[in-house]
Amino acid sequence: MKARLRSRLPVLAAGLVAVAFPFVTSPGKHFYAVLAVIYSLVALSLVVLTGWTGQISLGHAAFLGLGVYAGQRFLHAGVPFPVVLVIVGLASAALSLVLAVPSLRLRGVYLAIVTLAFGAACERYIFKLGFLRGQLASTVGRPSFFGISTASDRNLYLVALAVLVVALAAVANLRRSDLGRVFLAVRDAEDAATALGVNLARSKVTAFAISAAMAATAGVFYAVLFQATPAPSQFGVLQSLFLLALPVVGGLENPAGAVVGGTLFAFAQPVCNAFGLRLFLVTGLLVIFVVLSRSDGLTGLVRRFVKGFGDAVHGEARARYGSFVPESAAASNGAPHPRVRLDAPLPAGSCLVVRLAASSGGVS
Amino acid sequence: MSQLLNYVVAGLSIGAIYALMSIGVVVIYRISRVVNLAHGAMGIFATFVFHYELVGRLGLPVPVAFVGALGVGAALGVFVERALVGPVRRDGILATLVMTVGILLVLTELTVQFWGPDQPVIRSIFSDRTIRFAGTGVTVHQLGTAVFVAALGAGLYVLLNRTRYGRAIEAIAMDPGAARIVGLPVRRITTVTWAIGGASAALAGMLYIHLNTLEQFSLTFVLISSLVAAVLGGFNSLPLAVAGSLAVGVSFSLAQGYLNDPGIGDLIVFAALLVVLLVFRSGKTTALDTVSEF
Amino acid sequence: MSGSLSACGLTTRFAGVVALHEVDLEVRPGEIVGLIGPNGAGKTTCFNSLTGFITPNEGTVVLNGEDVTRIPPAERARRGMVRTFQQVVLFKHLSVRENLLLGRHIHYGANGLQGVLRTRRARAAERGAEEHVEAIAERCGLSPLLDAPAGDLPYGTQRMVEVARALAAEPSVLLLDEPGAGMDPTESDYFGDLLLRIHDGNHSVVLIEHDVPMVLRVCDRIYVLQFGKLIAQGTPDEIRANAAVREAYFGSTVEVA
Repeated sequence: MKARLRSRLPVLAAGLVAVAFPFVTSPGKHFYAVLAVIYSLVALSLVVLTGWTGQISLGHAAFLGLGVYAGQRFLHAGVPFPVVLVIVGLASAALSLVLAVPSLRLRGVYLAIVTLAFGAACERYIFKLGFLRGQLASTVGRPSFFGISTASDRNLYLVALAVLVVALAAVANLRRSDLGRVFLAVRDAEDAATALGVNLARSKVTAFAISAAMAATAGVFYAVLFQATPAPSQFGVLQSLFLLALPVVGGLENPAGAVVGGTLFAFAQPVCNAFGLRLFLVTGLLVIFVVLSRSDGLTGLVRRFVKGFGDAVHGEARARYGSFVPESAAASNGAPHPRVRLDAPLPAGSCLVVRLAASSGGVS
Repeated sequence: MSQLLNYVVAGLSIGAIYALMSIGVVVIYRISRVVNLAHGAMGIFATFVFHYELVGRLGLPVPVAFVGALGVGAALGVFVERALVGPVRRDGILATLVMTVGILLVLTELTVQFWGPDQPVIRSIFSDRTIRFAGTGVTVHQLGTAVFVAALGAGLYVLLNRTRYGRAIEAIAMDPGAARIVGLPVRRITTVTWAIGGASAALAGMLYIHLNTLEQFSLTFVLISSLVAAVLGGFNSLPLAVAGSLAVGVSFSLAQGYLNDPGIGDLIVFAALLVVLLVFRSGKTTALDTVSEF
Repeated sequence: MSGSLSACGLTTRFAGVVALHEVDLEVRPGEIVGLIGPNGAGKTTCFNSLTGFITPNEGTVVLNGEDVTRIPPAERARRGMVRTFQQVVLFKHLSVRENLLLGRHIHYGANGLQGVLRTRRARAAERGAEEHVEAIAERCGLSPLLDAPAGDLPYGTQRMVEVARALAAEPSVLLLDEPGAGMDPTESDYFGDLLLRIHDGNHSVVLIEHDVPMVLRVCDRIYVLQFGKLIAQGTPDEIRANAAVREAYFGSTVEVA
């Protein structure tokens, strides 16, 4: 129970900081806070898609852009904000099927190229179509969300944060359910998953649809935040590569990485400007660094460091996993068969060792 | 009629550039099983070195600078392989692809950082004199481009499919460790292959930007069409990649010309890709590839 | 009828090479059937053809009275035919527990949306799967290792995890491809006992194995493949006595007690 509390402490602390942020900072920072939430949502969508099922999207900015343009149309038509989020999410999920289905049976890099070409088509053509564009969002005004005005960046931030928290909870639940495990199984070993009755095609398409829906939802907030109709190049190929970099740098395999990456890059813009650096240059360098480091992004690096630090303090306490043959059975065979061997003295209070000791009755 | 011919010639001209790019992508894929998304960025970088440094600052004659730029492209290819992509190749397709995305971002931004956002006119080793025929015409530059594509394509085809070197490349791609054990100079062959890929990127960059003074990112858009063409041959076949490139170029040009709708070419390329993949899908697929996939 | 599997005239060719030639196979409910033969005899190709990972050029596969020849592999698994692989294929970034839970996939009682919303049904499904998995782990000696990352285990134990994962799917026909490869003698002895112990008559087993003494010990009947053809079949005693088998297989490659 104590261990569980300890593992939740960082989450609680992060939540507290996130809620307190707009009340202790100047309004000028609130804009970037909303951007951080938007980026975190997009990064989270890529965690599910790329981090879990191993499918690579190089066109996610197109889904973000779809959310922006479609969101503006619906908001302008007077559709309530929460309803717009749902409609746009569903529409984006439906669109994603057009991309996902043709690339299904081919492995590896094909979906990446399909999404890349899709991003180019959106940037150069689809986002220039009259029925999508031509709506000046500034004429819409900021909508209210369940009666909460989003006129100030602070309120918009709190609303967006609430949506992000819901998304994070949903993704955490997903990870602990059968479908989430299936996603990871598809990434690790397609054949083994098939042999257990997993429908690969449906799992991959589902992950892609979930991801596209989340990215488009983020786009609706983008539209509300910027209050203008952005140029299609804002959601083009280069932007897609930047969006992929967010969870890669933060950590592709867990939701925390998405939030870290999203927040980092939202606030990186003003910092880079202050130092006269180009944001995408810094982004590229960070991506190269992270891939070379072979860790799961910055969160993975921190986790690795904390673990290394813990090992150094407690003495190296890595348990080596042994055989499935019980010692009694092994002993009757005359062969020593320790279930678990520890390389070093027992660490105090390690829950792993306590459990093993209790069940195997002795640790050599 | 001459209108049609005009569009076809223009399409073949841009298709030749796509072909140059896809040749480079396929060659690199053959040795490393890496789809190099930074290929366009490498080409742009080498082209800007050619324009600003070799011709501009050092004042070299254009043909000399041209060869120098090919060397820069080759060096870039070797650097990318040795320092960046090679070390993470064993980490899988996600790692290498993301790595090339990082390289793309860095190289594209560096060209702006070093030489500013201007879009210079790049000089060509060929003249722009037009040769007229059948109511249309091509420039010497366009013809020269076609010759380069034909020579490079044919040369690499023979090299990859008809020589020991080609078989060595195949062996290295399948299993670098085993290739080393049987005595293949894995490092040297990998290096040479990436150098060829890098030089072809530089070549494509210089020949393309001479005709299209566009932003620093434009060659990556060209790369997208080339990748679509390379998909036709499963990233493995040079003739299919070249044929696909010309087809993409011509359909791009026809679409832009007749529909007169800027950007619709990109939509058509995307739609064509979906169709190609759907056709592929009905073809033979192999299960049980988890074990052999890295 | 649960647990019956039969193949008739199974023929598989790779680019002209005949890997499997008109193989007839019959597995009756509750049996443990061995499939042995020298390297390259076509044992794994036979498994791939039975489970649908390869579409055979000719022949039919009938599972529990249904013709499944044209049915994709995942659907065959749903109908009760579950296999393991010659080379261990675990979800190596997941824990042993999660690997076994994935074995419960086809019996999981909640869909993805219910999982995301964590409805009562989803929680019940998760709890049910957990309990089942813990019971399986207990029987297979994996209880202490449930939270270990599957990829960190020794090879023999990974084999056991793969078998346990297949068992979690409650197959009516279980196909094991060399489960004993990579186990030390103690482990493979124990594994043989385990196979007999967990074999409660509700399912049948097809076993590819190089450890011939183990096959002779645990199997009810044995098929012998050579160069893609069946050269013998029968009870362990019959196989032991079969001159053709001795000549083709035991005499040349394995010392048999």
